[in-house]
Parts: sequence; C-alpha cells; structure tokens
Amino acid sequence: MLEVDDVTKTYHGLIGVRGLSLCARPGRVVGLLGPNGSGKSTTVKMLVGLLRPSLGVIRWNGVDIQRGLREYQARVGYVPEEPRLYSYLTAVEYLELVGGLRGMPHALLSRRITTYLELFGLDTDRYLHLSAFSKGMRQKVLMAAALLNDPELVIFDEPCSGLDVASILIHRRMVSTLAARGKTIIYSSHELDLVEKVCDDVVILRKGHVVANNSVARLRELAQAASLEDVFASLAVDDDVDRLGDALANVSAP
Amino acid sequence: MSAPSEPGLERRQFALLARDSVQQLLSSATMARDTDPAQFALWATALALTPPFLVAVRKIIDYPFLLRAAPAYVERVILADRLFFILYVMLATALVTALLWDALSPTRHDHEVVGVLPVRPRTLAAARLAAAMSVGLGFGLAINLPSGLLYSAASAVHPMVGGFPRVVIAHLGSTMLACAFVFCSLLTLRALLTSIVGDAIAGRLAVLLQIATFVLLVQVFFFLPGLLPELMKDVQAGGRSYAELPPMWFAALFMQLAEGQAMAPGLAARAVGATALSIVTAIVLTLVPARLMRRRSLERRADTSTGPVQVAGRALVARVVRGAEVRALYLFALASLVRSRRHAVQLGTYAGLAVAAALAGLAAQSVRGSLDLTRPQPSLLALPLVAMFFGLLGLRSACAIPVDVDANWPLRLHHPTVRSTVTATRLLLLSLGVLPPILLASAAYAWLWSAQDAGVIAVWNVTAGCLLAELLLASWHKVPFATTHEPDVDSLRTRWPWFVVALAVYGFQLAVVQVWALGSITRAAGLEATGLVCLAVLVIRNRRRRRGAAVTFDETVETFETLRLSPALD
Repeated sequence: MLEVDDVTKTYHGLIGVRGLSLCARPGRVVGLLGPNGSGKSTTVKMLVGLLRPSLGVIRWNGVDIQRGLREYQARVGYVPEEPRLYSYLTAVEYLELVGGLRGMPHALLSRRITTYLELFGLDTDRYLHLSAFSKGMRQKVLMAAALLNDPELVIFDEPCSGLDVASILIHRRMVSTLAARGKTIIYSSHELDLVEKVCDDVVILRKGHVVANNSVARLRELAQAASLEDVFASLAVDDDVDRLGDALANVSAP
Repeated sequence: MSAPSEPGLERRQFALLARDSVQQLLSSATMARDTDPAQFALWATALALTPPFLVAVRKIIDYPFLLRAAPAYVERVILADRLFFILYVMLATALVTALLWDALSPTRHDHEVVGVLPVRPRTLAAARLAAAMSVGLGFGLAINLPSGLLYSAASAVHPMVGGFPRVVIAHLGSTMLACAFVFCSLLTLRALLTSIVGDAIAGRLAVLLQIATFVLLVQVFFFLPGLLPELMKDVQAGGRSYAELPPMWFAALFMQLAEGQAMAPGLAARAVGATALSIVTAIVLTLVPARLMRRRSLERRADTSTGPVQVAGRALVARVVRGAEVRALYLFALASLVRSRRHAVQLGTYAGLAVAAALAGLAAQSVRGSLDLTRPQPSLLALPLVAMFFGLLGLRSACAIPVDVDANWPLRLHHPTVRSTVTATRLLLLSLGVLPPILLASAAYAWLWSAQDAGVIAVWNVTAGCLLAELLLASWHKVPFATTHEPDVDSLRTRWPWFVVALAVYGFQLAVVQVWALGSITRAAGLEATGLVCLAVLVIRNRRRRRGAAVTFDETVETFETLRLSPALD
C-alpha cells in the first residue's frame, strides 16, 4: 500500500505541493487530476522517488520510501509524461537497458520484450531507432518498459498521449486487469473521461493543494454533478472557459 | 491559396534562415551541451590562427638575415614559406569543414520544421549554403589576416619579395582562394555523395576526413621543413612534377600577385580557375537538387542496420559478462558511442592524433632510411601503444559527455551500482581501445617476424592496456554518456605538457623497453610481472577508493584529467 502523508515540496521557496495526503491500496486505481501547474508532476516525481519531499513522508507498505529507495524503485513501474527516451536506441535495445538495470535474467528479458512488442504491434519496428517512432509508439515502448519486471506499483503520467483509439481501449483494459491482479496503480491524466472510466478513486489538485479525494461516484454525488468533468470544473477551474475560448478564436480575426 | 510572391518576402526568408543556419553550423561543431557557439568559434579560430601567426613572427627575425644570401636560396626559402601558409590554411579549412559537416546542408529536422512553412526548398538550401560560405570566409579571414599582415611586413624587408601592399594582397588573395577552393570542393563532394549514396555514408566520410586532415596537419609540421627544399629545387630546375599539386597552384598565384612573375605557365590561372569552378559547382549542386533532396530526406526510411562494432560488442558481452546490469550498461554505452555524431567527431580527433603520432616515428625513420621491418624496432612496437594511449584517453573523455541527459531518468530510477558502471566502462575501453590495436598489431607482427614474438608483445600490450584503462577509471563513478558534463576549460591549455610526457613514456619509451625485453625470456617475464604487479596495486587501490561511493548523474568538475579535446574545441 502506498501512503502519502502530509507531503510538501518547495522549490527555492516556491511551493509545488502543500500538505498532500493520499492512499493507494493494492487492486485500486487512484486518479490524479489537476490543471496545469497544480502540482501533479511534482507529486508523481515524488512518488517515483525522483524528487524528495521537503516535508512529510511517503510510505510503501509502511516503510518510508526514502529509507529504502532502491528497493522501493525496484517495485515501481513508471510511464512518464514526456516520452524522453534515448532516441538513437532501438525499441529492443531500450527495453534491454531497462530490463538489465532491473537485473532481469537475459532469457526472461528477451522473452518478455518479444511478447510486449508483439502485443503492442511494434514487432515489425523492433530494429528501428526510437527517433523514427511516432509519439504513440514511443508511449507503448514506455509502457512495456514500465511493466517488464511485473512491478507492484505502476505510475502512469499521461499514458494515453499520442495513442490511437484502439490503443486507448486496450490500455484501459490493461489497467483494469493490472488492478485486478492486485497491482497498486496511480493514474495521472488530463483526460477526465478516461480517468472516470479507469479509476476507482480520484485526487484533485489545485495550486498545490488537494481539493478533493474520494471515489468517483462519491465525488459526483457530493458535487451533485453528472460527470467527473463537471466535478473537476466546479473544483479546479477558475477561468471563464467560454469567454476565454471566444477571445482566443477572435484574436486574429480581421 | 496564393504562393508567397510578395516582393522581398523570399529575401527576408533567406536572411532569417541564413542567420539561423550560422548558429546551427557553429552548434554542430561544439562537443559539450550548453556550450556557447560564439565562444567555441572564438577559441577554435584562436587555436587555428596560432601556428601561422607564430611562423610569421619567426620570419620577422629570419628575413633580415636573407639580405646577404644568394638569390636562388632566397627564392627557395620564400617559396617554401608561402607554401607553408597555403598548405596550412587548406588543411585547417578541411578540418573545419569536417567539423561542420552535418550542418552543411539542411537536415531532415530542418525540412520538418521549415517544410510546413511557405518556404521554397531552394531558399532553405541557399540560406544554408550562404551561411556555410560566410562561416568559411570568416574563418579564412581570421586565420589569414593576422599572419598575412605580419608575414608581409617581414618579407617586405627583402627587395626580391615585393612591396608591402602587394605582398599583403598576394598573401590574402592566394590563401583565401586556397581556403575557398578546399571549402567549396568539400561542399561539392558532400552534395555529390548525398545525392548518390545518401546522407548516412556522406556523414561517415566526415570522420575519415577529420582523421586525415588531423594526420596531415601534424605531418606538415614534422615533415614539411624537410620535404620543401627538395620540392623547391625541382621547381627552380623547371620540373613539372609539382604542377598537379593544388597547393602549388596557389603558391604560383602568390608569386604572380606579389612579384608579377610566373612560376610556370598557367599555374596561377589554374588556381583561379579551379576555385571558380569549385564555387560554381558547389552552388549548382546545392541549389538545383534542393527539392529532390528535401523529398528524399523526408521520405527516407530510418536506418535499421546494426553496425559491425555493435555486433562484435554483443557477441563479446554474451560470452564475457554474466551480470544483467553490466550487460545492459555496456550495450547502452556501445550503442550511444557508435550512434552519436558528436562523440564520433571527438574520437576522430583523438584517432587523428594517434595516427599522426604513430606515423611520425615511422616516417622519420623511413626518411632517414633506418626503417628495418625484418626485426622488432621501437617505432614499430610503439604503434599499438600510441593507438591505445589516444584511444583510451579519447574513449574515457567521450564517456563523460552525455548524449541525451534528459533521457537518463531510467538510470536515475534504477540506480546502477558504481561497480557495475565501472565494469561496463572498463569493458568498453578494453573492447574498443585496447583489443582492436592489439589484434591488428599482432597480426602484422606475426606476419613480419614470428608468431612467438607477436604473442609475447600482445601479452605485454594487454597488460599495458589494462593498466592505462584502470588508471583512467581511478575516479570514475558514473554511467557512460548519461551524466551532465562540465568541461574544465583549463585542462588542455595548461596541462598538455603532462600528456606529452605521458605519451612519450607510455607510447615510445615502453616500446624501447619492449624491444630490450624481447632479447631474453627472463627480461620478458620480468616486464610482464612488473606490469601485472602495477595493475594489481592499481586495481586494489581503485576498489578501496570506490568503497561506499554512489553513482553520480550531476557532475561538476571531474577529478581525473584527460586530454579533453572537447573543452579545447569549446
């Protein structure tokens, strides 16, 4: 179980996240929502151990992750928001690098790489450099890299960016199956419709604070909203979206 | 939809693209990330203009002494000096062209960015060509003007040379035309290769060109003083064997402009004609197929081939390495090295120095007539040692420069151990910097002398290679090609004497000792035992030093100094 307990992260005096608390249990998918600059990426980076909280503690099965960071990270699979990959490597080489770093035996690694590439429809492009991959293809490579060693905790940060409709449907099913297999899943995304369908619980962030933390159904009920989008709009959106949209469309009008 | 036919629009596009292209050209030659291209250009130019400037300064002292010399001797000296300036600027231009090679014509990335805008492919190609020519012209002026002014002032003291203003014009005219001739000829070659065999092979040629120019540049300083008198005698005797050498055309032009005399009929005109032809060909071959090049560039299927180095590396790692982490890091490092153009350029520089240094000894012996291939000689045994010295230094230096820092997050997440990263780096150094020169040298020694001699020398060289690799890895605690790099700009400029001494000891004195040790089994065993003891001590010391250390991803300043040609170029 992943517990985030009153975590604050400051960067040179500026607050990225303040007093964040959440809990993710095995078999549950926790959605992380928030507008740009709300602290989602900072939270995700703290959850994967790339950033250290300024205050508070993140526990995995009751142990502060900073005390055994390496052991914790060995259990985490991470799909980052930006598909930053070594673009001169092929998909196979990249997955071999990640699997090797995770200490996977070569035979098992080769088998899994082949299977993932086949299932993701990338087997014909296995010797192509990643620089030649489309965004969606790179996203699939990142997913394969995250799942290679069967992690206990999987953290997805905007995983569907660049994926086509069929791939999104497959991805949705994959997340549900992973959860059913007892994996703990954190799912950060701007796609509210997808989050509503995939996640059991949702944490909504706004300006570094948690403004909502509950199950999707309960949130809808509390906000008396028809959809998660309405809940989100009422809790995390300040702007007059219609006015702004019109204004943007008319900036260059003659 | 209307085409962009607005008057002046294309000119504005050209100007904007040309300005951006200059930046891209300079950036393509810089080694380290975040290096200021302007600073790089200044340092590179300063480095390039130093040799002719120093030679010109020396001529201020030398030329007054020529006043009493025989006219034939004076003529020979002056011709030799002019030829040096011309030859130097031609080689320096070739080297700069090799460094700028990738950005000399629009890349696929350029076409993807600019291609969506209403810009004609020819405008983009013309802008890049103009930028390349401006950079070439600027470089040529920067290295020719100071030395030209000084040399003209120095030579004007002698009545045979010609008046100051005339010599300045002659010096600048001939050296700048020589510069333009080389630059445009290489542009033409690049355009031709890209059209015929494609970008990939044209790109590979850059490294070869770089090595060749480096070797020739170094050899110019070693051997030109010895060879020039012979050439000059031939010129004075009216021989024509030299007429096919392009530097002689420009030397003839120099003479024609400075003194109004022809070295040989039509030679000066050949310089002007060849330069004009190279400029016109470069322009035509760049502009005419611009649209075709864009289409080919955008439609090109990405390269899926795995090079022989990687295949060999994979085979080696499958047999030698058991640990998954070391295997992963080694294969990652190997792929990074063979696919990174910047690292290839850097290694090309080291390779050029290695070939130049190794050939210098051989060529000197060959000129003296003392080269004997029938028995082991220090100059022959030095070949693999010099290659290992520069190879290992170059690899170690390259490993410290990242390929893509932003992509190193999986490495940060998985925290490889220092032991794994050191083992992988050591394996990389040994497989690329030690094994190839030893194998090549052993085959040559076995053919020249005996398999036994070749075997003994190979064993010594393996120990020597491991020793140097271990020494270079003394403070290594990072993943190769994945750590931020902060170049220490003082390393080459202030510490080069140390490297010269190290090269002399490791590359040449060790070869002398090896020749001595080949004389008896006791000496041979003693040399090997000494090497192994040193290696063992070094390994134990390094292991102790690394105890408790963690892998670094954010380097500040390295504690171990290599030649670091990248900061020098920066």
